[in-house]
Amino acid sequence: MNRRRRKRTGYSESGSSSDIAFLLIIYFIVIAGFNVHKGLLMHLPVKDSVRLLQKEDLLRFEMDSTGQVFYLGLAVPPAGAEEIILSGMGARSNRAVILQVSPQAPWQKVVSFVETAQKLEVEAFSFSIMPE
Amino acid sequence: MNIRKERKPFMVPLNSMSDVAFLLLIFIMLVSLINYRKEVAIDYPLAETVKKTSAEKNLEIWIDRAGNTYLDGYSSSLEGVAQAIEELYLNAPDTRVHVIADRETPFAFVSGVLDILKLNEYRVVSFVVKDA
Repeated sequence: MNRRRRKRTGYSESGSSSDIAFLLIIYFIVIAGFNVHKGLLMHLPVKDSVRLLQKEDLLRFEMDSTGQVFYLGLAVPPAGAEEIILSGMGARSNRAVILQVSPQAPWQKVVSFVETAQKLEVEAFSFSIMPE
Repeated sequence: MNIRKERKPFMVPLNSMSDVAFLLLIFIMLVSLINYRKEVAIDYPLAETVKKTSAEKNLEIWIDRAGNTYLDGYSSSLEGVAQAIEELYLNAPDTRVHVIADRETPFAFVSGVLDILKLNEYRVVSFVVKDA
């Protein structure tokens, strides 16, 4: 007589499914973290607001349509602009950095300049569109 | 005659653990669906010194390379953006506005959006970038 025993399924066989489920949970939690924005915080001025500054305190930069930065009519590389701001800030405490941007200038170049100003902790920094 | 029933040792059934885990999984999946975020296909500008700018309430203004604007991923005109900002200012002024523009977007389009924000006295704005 051939007797076959029924195989009993124990608890241990389904135990690993909980591990898989928890791994999936961790995966979703990590994915949710991807939606966090990273960027540069800007404090915008009120439109048409006026701030009185002395002419000597102004560091006026210009950006053309290709994203090239100019200071006093001369083209300066990003590192050069950083140096100008640094030396200017050291000379006078009330310095203000102004960037006039060509309407066609790529956003990346503007962001890079904003980043430089933030990195150098320029308090009075503003940028505006260049009148055509 | 004193018959004592033999007590079975207490055992937590591990089988139910997987059920709990799966319920948690379903919960997280549903929550992630609620937080579903529509993205516009853009190339993020790059920056090195970035910080987390997400707040509890966020509004995303997307600007693609051609200058088209999107509100939270949905196409919108500049007037639509202005209206949304106005409503936001009245109902939830603590909402953080994120400007997400393509790195090649001409500055004129971003400036248009920034002018709306300035007009509505929306002071703190985040320029969303990617870690370089």
